[in-house]
Amino acid sequence: MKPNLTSTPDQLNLQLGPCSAQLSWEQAAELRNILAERLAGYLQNARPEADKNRKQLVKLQPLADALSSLEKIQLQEVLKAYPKPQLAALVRFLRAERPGISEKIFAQLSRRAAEQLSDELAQKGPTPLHQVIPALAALEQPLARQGVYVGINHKAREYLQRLGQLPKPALAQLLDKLPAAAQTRLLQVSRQLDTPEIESRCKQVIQPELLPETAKTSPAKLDEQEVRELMALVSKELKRLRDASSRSKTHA
Amino acid sequence: MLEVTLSNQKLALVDQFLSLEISLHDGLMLLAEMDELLEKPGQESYSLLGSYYQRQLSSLLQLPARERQSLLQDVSLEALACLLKMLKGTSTEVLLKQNLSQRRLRQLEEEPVYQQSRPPEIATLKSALSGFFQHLDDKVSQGEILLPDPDEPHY
Repeated sequence: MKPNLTSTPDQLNLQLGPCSAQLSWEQAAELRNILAERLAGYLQNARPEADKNRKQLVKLQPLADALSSLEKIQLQEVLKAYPKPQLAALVRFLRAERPGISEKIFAQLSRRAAEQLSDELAQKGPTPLHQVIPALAALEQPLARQGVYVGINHKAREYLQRLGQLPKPALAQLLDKLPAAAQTRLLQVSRQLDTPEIESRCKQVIQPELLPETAKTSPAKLDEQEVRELMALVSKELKRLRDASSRSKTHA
Repeated sequence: MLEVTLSNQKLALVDQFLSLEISLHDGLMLLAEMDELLEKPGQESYSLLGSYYQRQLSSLLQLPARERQSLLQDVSLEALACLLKMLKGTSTEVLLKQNLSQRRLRQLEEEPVYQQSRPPEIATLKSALSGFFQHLDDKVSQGEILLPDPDEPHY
């Protein structure tokens, strides 16, 4: 359907398929201004997703960097566990941003797999950032299996390991103070980040009747924001307990 | 009064009872024609058309080679001449030329629109390019191609 404009000395006729509108010159000028404003806004408006993806990329880049520190065998294991459909997007990103690592990956692939990947790369056009994001995020789990944690997961793991060194009564007291939902999440994170000390303590604290249900219904993995929020909550509760403990010592 | 809304590369003219959708290119042409009838200076509508062509072509030129070449083969010489004139002096002009065969580039030199020193008129742009952008929109809406966001980094 194409719009068609005609004019008379008094009015402007806008024909659009079976519909038509007769506009006075004033109305036409008003419609023109609205049209210009909306079109300009639409064409000039930067897409918010692009900004979001750029920020996400900054967060995920350490995962790509972590690949360079792996031993040959570790890299082989990571590639075995890595989802194959994402590999072309990952290699495209690495070739552009971390060329040394992409060569290492090719060196670990079988001749046939390397040929297939080269063919796929040759056939596909450039990979957009929104496809690179999941390809990088998919590295997190295989890297974690090799004991490599980056970003917030790295910090959270170190924090949980330090918590695990607290005297048992103090840790029990801390876990007891946390809301039930936070206890469950802490259990999830401790599994996710492979901190068995905290995991076993959480299991002792969480009411047994809740445990099977939470294990079934809770998502397998907390995202970065959820990990960050949980660590902030644990840290706040720990500080509160320490303050209370130092106050009672002073009074004594 | 008609309300104007834009989403998914479509422009909708909405009144109390009806909503009629047209393509973005047709919407830009409508604006340019209104400017002509209202005797307004056409720089704004012309510049918006330029932004639209820039955006669409930058996106099209990022498509995989086979899709890109297939689409460019569908563009008439007159339409190519219009696009090259509208994109003159930009990196997209250079990239578009790199995607054309020597034969087509030679043929373009003989196109009247290309030979003119002034930019193409709205009526010429409408007759030469509406069909191509409609074809492009159809391919996108049928899921045959996915136009990349030209502002998004590509690797």
